[in-house]
Amino acid sequence: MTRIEELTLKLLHEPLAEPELDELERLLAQDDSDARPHLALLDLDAALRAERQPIEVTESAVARLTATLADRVQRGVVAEITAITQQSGWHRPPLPVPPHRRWRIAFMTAALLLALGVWYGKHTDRGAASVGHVEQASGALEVLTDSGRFEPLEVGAPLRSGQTIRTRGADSHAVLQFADATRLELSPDTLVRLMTGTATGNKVLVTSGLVRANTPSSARHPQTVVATPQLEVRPGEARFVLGVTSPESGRLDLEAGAVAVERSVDGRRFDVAAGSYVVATMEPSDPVIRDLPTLLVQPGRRLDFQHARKINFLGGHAGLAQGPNRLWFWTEPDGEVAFELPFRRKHGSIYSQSNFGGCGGVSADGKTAAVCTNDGVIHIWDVVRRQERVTIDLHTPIPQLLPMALAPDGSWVAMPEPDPNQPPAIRLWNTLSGEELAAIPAAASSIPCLTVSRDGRYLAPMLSKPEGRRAQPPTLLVWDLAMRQPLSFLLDRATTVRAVAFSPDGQLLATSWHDGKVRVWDLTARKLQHTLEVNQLLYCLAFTPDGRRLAGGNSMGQVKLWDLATGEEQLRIQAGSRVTWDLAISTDGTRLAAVAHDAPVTIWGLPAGK
Amino acid sequence: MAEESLEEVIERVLGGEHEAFAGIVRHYQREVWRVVAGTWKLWAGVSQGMSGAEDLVQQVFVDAFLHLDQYQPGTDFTAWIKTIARNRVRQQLRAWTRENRRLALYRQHLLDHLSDDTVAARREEAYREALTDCCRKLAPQAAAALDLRYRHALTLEEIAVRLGSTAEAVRKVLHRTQLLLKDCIETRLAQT
Repeated sequence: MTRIEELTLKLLHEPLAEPELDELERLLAQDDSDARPHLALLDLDAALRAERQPIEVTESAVARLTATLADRVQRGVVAEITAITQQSGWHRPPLPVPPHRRWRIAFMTAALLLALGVWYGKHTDRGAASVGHVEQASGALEVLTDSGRFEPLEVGAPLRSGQTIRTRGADSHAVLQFADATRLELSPDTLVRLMTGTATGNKVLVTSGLVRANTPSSARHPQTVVATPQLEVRPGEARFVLGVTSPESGRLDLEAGAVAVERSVDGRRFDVAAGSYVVATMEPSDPVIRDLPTLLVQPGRRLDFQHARKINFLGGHAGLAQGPNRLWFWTEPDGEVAFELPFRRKHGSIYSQSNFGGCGGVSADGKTAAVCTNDGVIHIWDVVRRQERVTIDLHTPIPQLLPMALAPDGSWVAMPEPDPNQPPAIRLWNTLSGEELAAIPAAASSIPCLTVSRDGRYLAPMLSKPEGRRAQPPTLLVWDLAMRQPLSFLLDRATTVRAVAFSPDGQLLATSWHDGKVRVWDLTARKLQHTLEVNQLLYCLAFTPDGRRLAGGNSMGQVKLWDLATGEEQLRIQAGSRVTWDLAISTDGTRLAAVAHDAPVTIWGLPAGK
Repeated sequence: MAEESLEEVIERVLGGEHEAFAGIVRHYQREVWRVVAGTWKLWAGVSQGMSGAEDLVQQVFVDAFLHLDQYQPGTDFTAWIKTIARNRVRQQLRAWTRENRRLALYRQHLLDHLSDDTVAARREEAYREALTDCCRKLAPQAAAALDLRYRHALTLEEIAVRLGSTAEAVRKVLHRTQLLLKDCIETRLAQT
């Protein structure tokens, strides 16, 4: 044992005396090679320490995060106030605030009020009287606790003012019943805050997501006001949908009855009649009230495929639906089930209760299907022969649900790299041999959806995000498989993608984002072609064959059809009451198929485009 | 506290009435705090919390207590205790500077390892595999000592009690075992 080793080993287990420390320092300074055993022993010590039972830091980490976020909000508000006072001067009338600042100021103010509300709620609302209860819930329904964490909220739990409640995940859903008989249906990923103290009674502030409200006429009780940061809805007897997807705007769709709307931005009131919708922004201009489009509620056909998640038309004569464990083929136009293909597996569980309808897919020609199991195996099925063709073992568990895309002819299958320890990539495998064909680098580790164009040329999306800058807009990358290079499209704001669809000719790419917008890019011209302000999150998209109209399904089981050139909403279809998992439009453009959560596959006739 | 009463307090402390020292701490803590904490952030580093400064202030009073018999009655006690505080700060600075030099070597070594993500990941995996294999070859007593030291974070004395041995014997076992592991891992990594 050398002297350096002796001193280093001693150092690892007990404090060294001053002369020993001096000696060690001297020895280390003599020669680089002398330092090697010292460093090797430190490496060993670090590796052995790493073997110790992991510490539990969840609570402290979450508490720290909460404090950091609160601090950021506070600093943001102070910065805004400072900016305003500096701009306006103390004695002069306030200068006009630039439009882009207005919503930020309003949002900051709302955040401050919300923070104050939370504080006030913490200190005053303990034991507050119940204002209602949770009538129904599925998926994750949570309430914000005093400690700043979200905890599960059960069916039957009383609702109290000051509570912040959210649904989390695409299959989450809840119905809140208030004492004045108001019913509030929360769609997935919705956050509301219950407040009291308004002149009329309770107030529910929808901070994000989509709610459907049913407010019966009641003389005895003051009625619940449902609001967004931009508007307050004071209902009589009414049924309406209120949505918030971004700090800039909120949208009210009035389905029945009549309501008085008060804009929180400028304090004005206006009335909205049934069959109308209005989008309120932070700009204090007059809101435009428009008629709701035609609503279809009776489908042409219902196909009762249990838990179907994905659907597609195969030419003009057949269609297929995919559930977690089964594939159904039906013939068109009679809707007869031609055959069912159950996926049987020896090991692992197929992702069934998934947000995106299961990890799997079917090629556009309907001849190849793929499902993946949580033990890290992709099963490729020959649909024509109705048998498993090949299994692809990824040699790593699939820790979470991942999207999958199959080539139009079923020759390859693509999936994001499942191993979080590997660099993010999209991996492609041959579906005949199971051999890996390529691994396309993807800058973002989270890829929520994956789609291939009908000609098999483009694969999208692969997001790129500036490292460590959460608020920075990401770049949308579309991989050109023919040229083996990515096309990149810079976004104007930080948001995340939820659904993508290629136009039938492969030239347009429609994307649905969490900021309530649909962005359509022209891949040939490489530019943003259309931006639709749909004011809600769409879970699936499909183009009409001519590429001029786009259909999208929301979290309330509705499918909407827009004219891309005008942005006009032309048609609305009620395909269910929960998340619309998938939709497809037939190649002749006359039929639309949709499937919503816990609802049958429905086939609808589509009117011809104008 | 007047100077007269300070002399009395010191007399009492030196006479064995140790709790009387609390009066001195209470009266002079502000002066000591100024010496230590005034510059703490500048020399300890911005990432250090103020609890370290408090530790140091406490240590200054421990030093003062242990050397109270060296105080010359009638001289400025404030100056005396401030000298002790400066000595303690000086000592701490020297220790940290030396440690920083030594750690700089290891930090650079770590940075070299972490410079390439792919290489670092591969090396970590190879190192972990080598460590696991080499640990399998250890004698039961050595493996037990290592386990108690690292997985259970016991002191040498606690390990000695568990193994029915002495702390010195445990120290020797650990030193020998770690040297063996180091050599074994180096050989394994060289082969891969």
